[in-house]
Amino acid sequence: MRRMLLATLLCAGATSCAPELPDRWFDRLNTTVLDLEDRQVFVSRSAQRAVVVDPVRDGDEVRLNITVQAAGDDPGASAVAADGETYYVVDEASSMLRIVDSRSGAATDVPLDSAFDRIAVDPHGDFLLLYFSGDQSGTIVARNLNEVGIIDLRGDPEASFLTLSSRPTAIEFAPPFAFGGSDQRLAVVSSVNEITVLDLEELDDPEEALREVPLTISEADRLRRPVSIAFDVSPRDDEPDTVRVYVLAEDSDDITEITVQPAVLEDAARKLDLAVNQLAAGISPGRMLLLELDGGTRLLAIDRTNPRFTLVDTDSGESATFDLPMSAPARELLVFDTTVDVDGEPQPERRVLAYSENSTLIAVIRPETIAVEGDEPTLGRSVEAIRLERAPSRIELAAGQPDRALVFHAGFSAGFTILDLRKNNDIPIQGGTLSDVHFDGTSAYAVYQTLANLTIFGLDGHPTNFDLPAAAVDIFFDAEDELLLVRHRDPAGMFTVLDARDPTPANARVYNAVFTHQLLDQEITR
Amino acid sequence: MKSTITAITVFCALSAIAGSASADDLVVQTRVTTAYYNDTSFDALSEYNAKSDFTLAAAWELQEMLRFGLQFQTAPRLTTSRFGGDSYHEWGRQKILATGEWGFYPATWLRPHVQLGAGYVHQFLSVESTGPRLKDHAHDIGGFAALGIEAGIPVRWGRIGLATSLGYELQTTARFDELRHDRKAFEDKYAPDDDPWDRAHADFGSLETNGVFWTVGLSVSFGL
Repeated sequence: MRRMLLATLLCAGATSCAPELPDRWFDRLNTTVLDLEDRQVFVSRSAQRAVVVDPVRDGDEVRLNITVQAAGDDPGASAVAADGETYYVVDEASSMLRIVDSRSGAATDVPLDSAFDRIAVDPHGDFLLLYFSGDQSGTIVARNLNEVGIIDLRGDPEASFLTLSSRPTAIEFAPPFAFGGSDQRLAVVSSVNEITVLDLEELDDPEEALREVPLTISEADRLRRPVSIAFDVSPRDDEPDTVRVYVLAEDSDDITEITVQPAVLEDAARKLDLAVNQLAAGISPGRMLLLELDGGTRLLAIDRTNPRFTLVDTDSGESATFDLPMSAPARELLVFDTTVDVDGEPQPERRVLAYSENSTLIAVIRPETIAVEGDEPTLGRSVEAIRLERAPSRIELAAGQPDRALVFHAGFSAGFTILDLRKNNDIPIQGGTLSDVHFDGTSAYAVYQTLANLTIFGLDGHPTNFDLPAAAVDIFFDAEDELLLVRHRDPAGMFTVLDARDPTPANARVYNAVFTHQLLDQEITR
Repeated sequence: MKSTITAITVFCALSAIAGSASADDLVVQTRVTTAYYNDTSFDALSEYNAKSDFTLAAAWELQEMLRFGLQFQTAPRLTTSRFGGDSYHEWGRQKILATGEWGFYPATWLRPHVQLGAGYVHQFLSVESTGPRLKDHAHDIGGFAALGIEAGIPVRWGRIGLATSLGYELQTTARFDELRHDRKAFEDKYAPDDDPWDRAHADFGSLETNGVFWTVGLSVSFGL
């Protein structure tokens, strides 16, 4: 009897000797949101999945279609494709790029050989470039930090690889252009102390494809990281086959101008000729914009130590520096188009909004009215100031709604501000602190960090408040079905779909546990 | 082959003799049933791929050979935290099964047997994050087949002993696709007023619990 009891206990003890669960079950359910054209994709590394949420209208009902798509065993970097319907995910476990059609879930796997963790998407949809951030978390066997993976999406996607002379930190694509009638594509790869002009039409020949341009005389100089890159691919009458790349590096007083032209000599060693020039851009430029104006192309750079800006005429190279009516140096620039009345006729005009999180004064620059060779611009005409109730944390231009911008403020109960950029005045809205806003062309939809409310306000700034079941993180708008999708602060995924025309509880539906949708049907493998 | 046939013949003869030797019994058993599930759907609910239940069974034994009875199986709910605490799961199950058993007594203290069972299985699942608690019930049919052995000693009113068995259990796939908002829990926690929102059901997927199991427990027979 005693032996039998002992055997029973031993057997019961054996039940606890079970295999360990994969580690991913214990990692936080962090998701990366990909905002596609009419749906959103939430990619989770720990859940090894992409959850596609698609708000739809079904008669008088609103609902959310939820689909789970495989994202590989270790989904890392992800991005939305230029078509707005496809998305990319790098599976770091298999070193594959998954190209997924969000509608059908059909996926194409492209072998990469390396687990790249940064994706640069060509806005024109022709190329995809992959590179490394240098992040050392996780197990790394061996990887070439200077390597760039290039996928030509114009045919069957296949990866090719090039090793640069330094590690990429960012990649920008030049718009398509033509040299001598043949289409060309270029990208510029930023690195510390240099940039590389990447000829995407010559990938088979690394010598031809990669053209390094140093930003310092010696590597021993202080580090200079490119902070702004701009392309001018508009053909000029006097130089039809010329493309210009402008690079502003930190701790630099000049803007580097790289002129790219097809080689003139028939027996030239290289297909392209590159010429480098330095353009004076004030004392310590911190950010730069390229402006196509009626009077020519100009660069506008803001000073990072004083509230000043510099305009550079890219044709002549001449520049002039002007004061900004702000109490701190500008940190950000936003370009917008508006109209001005000229002899009773509305005329389009391009303007620049400059702001800083340390200044309650923001500046509106009218570069069309400033002559680089001329005198100081007249305050109140060429540079206007708007005084806000509070300093901005960020400003968003109203998409599809001309002359309107929304100012976010830091801190709780800080409210927000609507800017009328035609009249250059502000409309302070007292209330909760915004977490997100969406403009649909006629109205703006705002949600709050701590308040369970949705506010719709029109062009005049008149707010109409509605209830939500909880405070929100972000808001998306489905223009086709006129639906709002609100994501709440719930790590397992809580959403509310609302009829944008009447966003009341009677015309809404709440969804919970969206990120764990059909979780029991999925095997977590690592 | 010949020796096998001889052995089976002797075995059946002994069974018949044993069966004819005594009257009916009421058998009550309490067992611990441990089942092993290899389906990965169980990973979301338990740290291990094993699940132990408490079983209470009562059977009528006819002629020391056949037993017909009922068994009830339950256990405390499993609570698990997944994704670093972002999703809490609670799962529980109860079974009510009709059982049939054929066995014999090659010796007065030993009873090998074959057991079959089938019946109703109820499962409960709740899922919770920072939002409201969601819960669902699944109603399925389950069954099992097992080989077992019972060893006991005769006492004045019957027999007392230990029983163990090894078998395989099957169950229709449980669908947890209608996790509902636990309105009472939500209102206690978040809002005292009526909730005006239409909250859609959540779909947590399907649970497969088929696998090998073994039992061990106490068996008490009362002579009638």
